Amino acid sequence: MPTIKLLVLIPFAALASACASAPVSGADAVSRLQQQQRANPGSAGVSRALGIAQYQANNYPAARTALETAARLDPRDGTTALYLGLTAEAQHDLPAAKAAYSSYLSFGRTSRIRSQLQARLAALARKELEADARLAIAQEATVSGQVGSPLTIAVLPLRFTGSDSALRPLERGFADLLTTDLSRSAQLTLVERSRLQALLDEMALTGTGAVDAGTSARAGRLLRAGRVVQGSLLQVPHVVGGVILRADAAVVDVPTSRVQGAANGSDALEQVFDIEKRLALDLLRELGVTLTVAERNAIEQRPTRSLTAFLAYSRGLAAEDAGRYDDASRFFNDAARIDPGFGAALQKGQEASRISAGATSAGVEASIKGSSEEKVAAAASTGQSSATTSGSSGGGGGASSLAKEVAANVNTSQASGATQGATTTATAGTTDPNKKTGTFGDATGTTNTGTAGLVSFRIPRVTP
Amino acid sequence: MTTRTGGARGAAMLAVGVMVGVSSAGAQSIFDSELRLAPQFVQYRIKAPANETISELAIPIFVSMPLSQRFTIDIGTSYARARITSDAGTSALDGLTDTQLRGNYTLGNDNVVLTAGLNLPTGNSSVTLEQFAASSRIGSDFLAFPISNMGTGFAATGGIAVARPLGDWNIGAGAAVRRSTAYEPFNIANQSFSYQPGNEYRGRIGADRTVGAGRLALGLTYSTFGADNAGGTRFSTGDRIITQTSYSTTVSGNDVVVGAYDVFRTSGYYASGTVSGRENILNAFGSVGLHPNGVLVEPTLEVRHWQQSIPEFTSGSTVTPGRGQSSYLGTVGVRTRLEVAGVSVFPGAGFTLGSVATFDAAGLPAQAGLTGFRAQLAMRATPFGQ
Repeated sequence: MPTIKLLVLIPFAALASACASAPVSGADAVSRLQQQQRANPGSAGVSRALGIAQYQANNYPAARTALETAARLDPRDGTTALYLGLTAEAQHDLPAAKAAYSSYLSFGRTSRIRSQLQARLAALARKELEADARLAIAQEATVSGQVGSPLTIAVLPLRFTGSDSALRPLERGFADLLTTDLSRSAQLTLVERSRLQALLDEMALTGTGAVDAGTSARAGRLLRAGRVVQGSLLQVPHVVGGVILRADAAVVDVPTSRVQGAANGSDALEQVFDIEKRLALDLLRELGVTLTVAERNAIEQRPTRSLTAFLAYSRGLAAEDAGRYDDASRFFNDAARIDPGFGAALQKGQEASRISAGATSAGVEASIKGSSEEKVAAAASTGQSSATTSGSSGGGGGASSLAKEVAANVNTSQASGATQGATTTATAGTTDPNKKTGTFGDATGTTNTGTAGLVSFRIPRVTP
Repeated sequence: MTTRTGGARGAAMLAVGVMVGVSSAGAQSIFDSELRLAPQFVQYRIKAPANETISELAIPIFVSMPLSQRFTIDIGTSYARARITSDAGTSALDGLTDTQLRGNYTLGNDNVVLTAGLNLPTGNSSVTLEQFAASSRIGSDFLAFPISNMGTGFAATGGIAVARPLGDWNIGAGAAVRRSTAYEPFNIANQSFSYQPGNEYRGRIGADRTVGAGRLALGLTYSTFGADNAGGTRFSTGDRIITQTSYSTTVSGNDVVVGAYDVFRTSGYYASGTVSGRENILNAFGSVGLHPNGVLVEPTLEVRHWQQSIPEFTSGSTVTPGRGQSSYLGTVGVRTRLEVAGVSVFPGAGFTLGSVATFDAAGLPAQAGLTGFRAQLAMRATPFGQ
């Protein structure tokens, strides 16, 4: 027994010695963590702490390098992903920031940070589209030389003419319906509405916002679309009251800037969905598309049967395009309230709500307060590192890692358990009680050590 | 029996179906494949009055291949040689063990995992009477040999695991069923003895969260067995409840882990008809990953206690009252890490001291001293350099 006590004391003395550390701050923290990284280049926790300390010191390139190292060593660590995203944002690298934040949504654990990042991702997507649009216009000479596929279609907002300004938002709503219906064909690729709007906004900023065939073709070239759908809505007063709505649409061939085909329809305003469906089918014919039965059935579906809900939805699109996300969120939510089955309104309402939440990188940093991520960052600011997700017993690292760990423990592999010593987890040297399944030795009790008992079985002799 | 065999076949087909069905999804992540090889030797010497030496040389190999972002398969097997020497003689066996093939498919945002596995009978599940002692002893829960059996016949496992964040916690749960076909545990000329293991149903609840600068993980596994059938006799050796906890953190760049597990087995009946008493194994461990001069030196300490409840036993008019007995051991070890030609090599060794409950020559309870050591040269390679 004294020998065992001694054996117990030696490692714990080593542990106590290892734990003894004095707090440091500022540049000393970075220096100390750099030393730790040199001594232990394979530790994700040390690289992460160094990255965070560098980020806190505004040394973004060094922070990026250290955090990318940490992410390579432990791709499932949410805190690493979070600070990698913040660093990438500070460096104006939006794609990298989006990728890192998305990684946090997969592996991170603090719900308010996840919520902030969802909002931030929506805002970043918008910023990225704007940056793409600016780049496209800046490089117009180069981009214009590249002809888009004739099967890539952009649908521009239709122009509204009429006395009832409340109907003007149909410019966006009608185009949105057309985009959705044309996209039902597997043969066509539609330019997403937000990308198109970002470009139109940028073109308007540069003073070239008019929408004629030439402008449409220019937008199409910048969007790498082969053809553009443009058109108009006309409010016609009816002699017996009510409103007639006439819709005209044309397909503009981008390389030649010529109108290739046209379609139109008119009916009472209440029949706006029927008008749009007829127009969509005519345009598909003009575009040379043959629909399958399933595609045609999909086009026949109405997102809502309520004109009031659709007008609210269209107002939401207009507000969104104008950058008024608060209003957009309210209009979309109105539409969803009027018709709870209006799925697109519900989805758009959530997106607009996230963006209007005003999530900024500062907001994301504020959401870290009081979280486990803050403890990691606080430790880093004093030159201390802490375990990343892969360092935990059983490989815990967010819900996805836990699900895999649980799966591995209910469906065990003897060889996996026997080779744990080759893994980097600190528990590798210990035994795993889950790896064992029932054996015949268990059934006979002969697995018990030190019990040299006699086990007897009746083994029937096979009759020849 | 027909129903059981059909069920096993169905489970196997389901498992294969899951694997084949999803493998066509793509293989963009196969470059993350990992190969692990861990030759190791473990020996325990149980002193008088048992006078028994049990050793095992195991060379397990394990390959994990992500075939796509969502679908991962792994396959593992081992060569093993087990040997027991005692006053009664020597029992030894060697050869390839069974091969386990598993597939995991993740759904949605990775928080749901479908798992399927096959135990392919590449190992020898039938042993001679001379080999029987060696094949049994390596299954000891207390000594926890790296390879606990050479072969258990064909079996299929199917299960599901789900996890989700809940506040600062991740909470997960999973369940699986393992269905086995019958096999002959004995290889005796002109004699037949069929052993049909009962189904194993296994459920687990897991949780983890950050605590301070480290991570706390908890786990609870409950496994229950259907009635086994040995030569027409039905019996059950009791359910197992495993609780686990561990806390890992980093202190001054050094990984520190402390943890414990407890394995409780309920009372049941052995194949001989004898009552098997309750037993409990409590294990605690700790490790520190130190990095002097950039080299990993990881001392470990593990202590284990085994409490057995021996039921009352009646033989004729003699009643032997029930009692309890305890065994314990402590193991100190050290592991390091080297990088050799792109392969991570983890040499490690450990030394064990303890005491095992046994019987003396008169059949009375006694304690026997226990010593042991283990040596390992584990290797891990990522062939595509990830």
